Amino acid sequence: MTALLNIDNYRLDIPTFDGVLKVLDGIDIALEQGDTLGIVGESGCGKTVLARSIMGIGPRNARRVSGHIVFDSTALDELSEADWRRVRGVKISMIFQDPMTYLNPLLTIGRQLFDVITAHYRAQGKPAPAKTDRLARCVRLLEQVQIADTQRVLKSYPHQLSGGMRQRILIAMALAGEPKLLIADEPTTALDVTIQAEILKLLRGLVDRLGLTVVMISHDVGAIAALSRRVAVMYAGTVVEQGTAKSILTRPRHPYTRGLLAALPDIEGDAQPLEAIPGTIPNLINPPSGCRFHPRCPRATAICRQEKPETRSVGADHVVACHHAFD
Amino acid sequence: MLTFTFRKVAVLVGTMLGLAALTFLITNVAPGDPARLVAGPDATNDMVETIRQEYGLDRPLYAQFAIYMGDLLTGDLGRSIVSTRPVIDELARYVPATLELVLVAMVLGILVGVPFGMLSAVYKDKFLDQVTRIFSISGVALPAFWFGILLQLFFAVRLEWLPVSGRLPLTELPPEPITHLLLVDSLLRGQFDTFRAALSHVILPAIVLSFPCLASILRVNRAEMIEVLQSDHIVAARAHGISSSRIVMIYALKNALLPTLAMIGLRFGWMLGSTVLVETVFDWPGIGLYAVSSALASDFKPVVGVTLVIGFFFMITNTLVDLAYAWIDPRLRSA
Repeated sequence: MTALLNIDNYRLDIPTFDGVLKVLDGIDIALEQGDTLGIVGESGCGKTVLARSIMGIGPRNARRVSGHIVFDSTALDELSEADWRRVRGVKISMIFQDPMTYLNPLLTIGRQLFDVITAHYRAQGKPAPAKTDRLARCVRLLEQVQIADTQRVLKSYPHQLSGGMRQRILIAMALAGEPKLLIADEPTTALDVTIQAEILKLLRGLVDRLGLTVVMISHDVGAIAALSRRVAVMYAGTVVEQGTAKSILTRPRHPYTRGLLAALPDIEGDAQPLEAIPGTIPNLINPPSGCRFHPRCPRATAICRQEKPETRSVGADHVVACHHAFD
Repeated sequence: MLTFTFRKVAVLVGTMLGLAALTFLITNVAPGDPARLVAGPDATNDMVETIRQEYGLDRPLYAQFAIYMGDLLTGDLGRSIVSTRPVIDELARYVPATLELVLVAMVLGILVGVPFGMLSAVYKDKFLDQVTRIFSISGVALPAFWFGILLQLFFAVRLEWLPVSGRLPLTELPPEPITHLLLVDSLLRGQFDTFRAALSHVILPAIVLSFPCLASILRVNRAEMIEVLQSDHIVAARAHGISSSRIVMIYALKNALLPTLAMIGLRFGWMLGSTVLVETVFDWPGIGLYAVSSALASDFKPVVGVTLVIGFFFMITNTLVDLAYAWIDPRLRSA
């Protein structure tokens, strides 16, 4: 069975005034239809750039150096802007981090949702159904994300709604085109903790019911664990470890993954000082040679400075890119 | 929205009263004895005293202020010393001419400034953007009188496409007034030849007057569009599959229009106050010329009248801009 999403040795550069940022350095990710993948990593590790590249809305000046992103047997990185319109929102759609800034403040929710629905028909070259039908669809979409007061919400502007409500609306917009693949870019980061749980529960329910394939991006390991069957750990533009969530969270092999998990507070057991990974994420204009993690790695040796580690299998559906991976 | 409108109108009335009070104060602290000025250089002290009483200048300041405000409310702005006609009648003659010129210039500024600012932002750093930027910088930098004369030389003298100056040819009778704006009146009366004549007269001065305004509208709109196009909700709209043209025309332009509107309001007031150079070059019978010639003759009442008129129009425009703001941005309505 071929994967629905296949990212193969994908390298991306972003030229800046100070030099070329090597933001993505050979990403390999494969995702089966109906599977859920969580991408974890620190801020600036390239996870959002990767997510946006899948949607074709990455930085304008970004340059693909090598590799492909193949979705449903189509190489996305070779699509024209016109072709993209038949993909965005219809086959792949996205939900975003901060639901306040990702909704247009000057248009009502109804207008924005209605526009999204209309745009999907236009993009596929189908005649849009009558206005009342499209409005009814707006209502159904809101009901799908468990908004009860649909008429009031449709007439509201974003600033009149709560953060949780706005995130539900963004989810409704993302689902409007009945996409196969849903990319969730830190969907709970900007929300209150109680709302986070609600949104995660809602997403979990939708994913199960609609059989969505999901790529979720977060630095919140808990949120990832709640939604994803598989996990990829990113560091400085590379995937350092990838496998089932269970295997990675219970038995991390990469020193970076270990550090990341050790940095989480443990509410069970005795209070212990949190461990931090020493150092900061590297400058991607001049990334460290060999393994990009070596300057911060407790296990680094001479070979780590010289050779980029190959990705190797360390168990059923568990790969790691490290010269000195834990057993 | 209704309470918002009421509040804005209340503020408008308050500001207008403030402006009236301020002009009263300024004319009173200005050096020189108005009674003596009216009486003329050869008047005796008795004559000056008579005039002082006639004009109520011997009364206490608050009483004078009450009279002044009362006169203002009944539309009495006093008489011009030079022409001895009521200032209000003279303003009624000159204000529509300036207003027409400024309105045409404003329409030009908006029709060219907004779309080109938008295009310039969409094609940032491309050829079109470079051309537009050169154009907008020269718009701010060219002195109006020089640019006006240049246009006259080329389009009126060399090509003979357009008339050199004036508001209508001497042979053309103005239409029976309805709004006192020639372009509007001639259309309403169905006098299309007059309309064409009036339009050909207003084009050159309107271009000259609109140029700096057009340039600043363009620059503000460009800068705002560039910023809005990078904002999160535009990224989201793209991700949801909204077409690029719709994103630019509706999702981004509406947001970028807010600061542009503020600029339009400011520029409208600025144009009203700075028509004098253009009016001089094009011999346009407007308030700019009227104010300057009155000021040179130390004829204060017309100057005060013109100040009030410009001030009032400025405030009305800005109130309209505020209302438009609230109409566009729902967040302001509840504020």
